This record gives sequence, C-alpha cells and structure tokens, in this order.
Amino acid sequence: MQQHEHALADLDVHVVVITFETALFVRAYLAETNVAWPILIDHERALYDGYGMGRGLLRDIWGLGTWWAYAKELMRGRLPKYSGADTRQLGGDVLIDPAGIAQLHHVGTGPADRPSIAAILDARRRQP
Amino acid sequence: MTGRQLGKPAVPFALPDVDGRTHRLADYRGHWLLLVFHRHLG
Repeated sequence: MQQHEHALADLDVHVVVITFETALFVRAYLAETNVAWPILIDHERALYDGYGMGRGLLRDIWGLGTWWAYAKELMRGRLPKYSGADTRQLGGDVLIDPAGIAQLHHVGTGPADRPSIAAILDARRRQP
Repeated sequence: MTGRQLGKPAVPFALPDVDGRTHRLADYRGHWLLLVFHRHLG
C-alpha cells in the first residue's frame, strides 16, 4: 500500500492504519518501516468487530493463497517474520467518502485476500 | 468478501495513535478516508 501513497494523495485520500497490537510493537514497526500514515490502536478490536473483521479459520489463514503470498515475499528478498501476534485476526479495507459513507468495504478471508490498489482507486474515482 | 457497511454510514471511532493522540472519524469528515485494517504488524 505504501508504494501507492502518491496515487492516493493525488485523489485526496487520507489513509489511516488500524492495528490491535500494543504501542510498543507499533513504535518498533514504525522505526523499521517509516510508515507515513497514522497507526491507530484498536486494542479491544471494537472497530474490527464493527466492520465484521473477526477471526479467520485456520484453513483460510494457512491456505494456498497465504503460502503463495509468503513465497512472493521471499522472492523479493523479504523474510516473513514471526510476530507472535494473533494471526487469525482478519484484516480488510474500508474506503469512506467525504459524507461518511463506506464506498468500499472489504473483509479479507485470509492474509492474501486484500483489494487491489486499482479497486480502491476505482471506488474513489467513481465519486466526484 | 464485501462487507456489510458498503453504502452505509461508516462506523464511528475514537482511537489513539502511538503518541496517545485520539483520532476520530469526525476529524476526517469532508475528506476521503481509507482505513487499512492490519491483521498483525510485521
């Protein structure tokens, strides 16, 4: 997503990352990745729940899509890390328009299941 | 999987960032906002 920062900014899309991890872990992550966007901590996972992002099934979390995603990271020279976190927590993306209406709401069924940046930008461009 | 909030009002939130500053959905009113929910960091 970070590599598309300018495309999103050009369309006046503010990005906020939501995590359930601790502030300590977030600081370490920021030091390593230099993510420019705010990272908000939803420790109780209330917002995750509000958007239907519960805990995934092991077969979805560790399915072929996940192994393929990790293989692609390895081919890019990036080693996957063991985070010790709740790896069954589902993620997703929500695009909200200026009037506060969700124009895209994707709940990932596993690690590799995220909308493409093209899909996000298309959802944005459909509106003025 | 398309979520149930598509076309509906966004779920309000008031969450802290790593510096303890609270961010609210209302702060972004009038702007497009993309919420990226991480499964886990790392």
